[in-house]
Amino acid sequence: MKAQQEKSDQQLIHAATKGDKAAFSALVNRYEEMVYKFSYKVCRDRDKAEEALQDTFVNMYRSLSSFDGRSKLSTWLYRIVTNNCLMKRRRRKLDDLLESYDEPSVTDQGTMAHHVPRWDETPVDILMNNELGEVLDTAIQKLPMDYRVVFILRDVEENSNEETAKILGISVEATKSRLRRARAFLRDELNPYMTAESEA
Amino acid sequence: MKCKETYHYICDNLDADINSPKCRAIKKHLDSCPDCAAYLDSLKKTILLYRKETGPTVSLSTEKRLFKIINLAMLKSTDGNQRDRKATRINR
Repeated sequence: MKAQQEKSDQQLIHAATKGDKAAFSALVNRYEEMVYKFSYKVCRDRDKAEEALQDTFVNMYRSLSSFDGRSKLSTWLYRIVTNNCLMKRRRRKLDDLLESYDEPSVTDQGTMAHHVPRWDETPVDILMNNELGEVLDTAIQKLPMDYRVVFILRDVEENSNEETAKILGISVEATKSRLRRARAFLRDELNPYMTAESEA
Repeated sequence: MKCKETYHYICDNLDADINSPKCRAIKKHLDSCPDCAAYLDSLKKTILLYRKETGPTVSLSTEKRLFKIINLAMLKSTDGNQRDRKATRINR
């Protein structure tokens, strides 16, 4: 087992495509946590995340021989999970609404039309309580899947714009546009909660 | 530089090189515009909050079910390959 852990992804993939089941299991062990956490962040549901985890590795097993090694295995896995989630998505009217996040509300002089209240100065660690967890969950669930996956891949998983575009099979410009709208949308959703005390 | 331009730039380039000429102009605007500064700060905090979310980890039971499904897929694939080989032999 230890010997498998020390092998590179490429070595394990090569062995797995030749029928080495232990090599495939080692790949699963290496990436199951990443796939499950990412699936949960996208689906926001433990059962759906587990379903996505199973679908992803079964899919990976079936199509491992088609993996050409030009991209990282993690990129390939992100793509499988994302496609899985996108296939199950429900389109929402909110898609159109998000276009309004391309422009801020400004005056004729080009300044902000509304006063932007400061968010609480409390460090982020202290803010991470159960109540805030629910607020974050509710806000991101309102975000259509196309935008949600861009935000999670780019800002949460910290992939580059180029890597995110590659995973999703869209242009870097489309990635940036969705990211801008997603960031602004989530920020506005959290705003009432983050400024409630200071505004009172 | 106006708020509108700052809005676009900070939304697209939160992690850009702060020494670029464009960034210096943005920084100058942010220093004199509390609304844009507050907006930038809230965008950064939004991302940090989602990054800090831990979420569940793979439990033993989840892992057990995962390997059960994978083993089934492997068995199915082995059976399929054997059937294919048998069919090839018969066709010969």
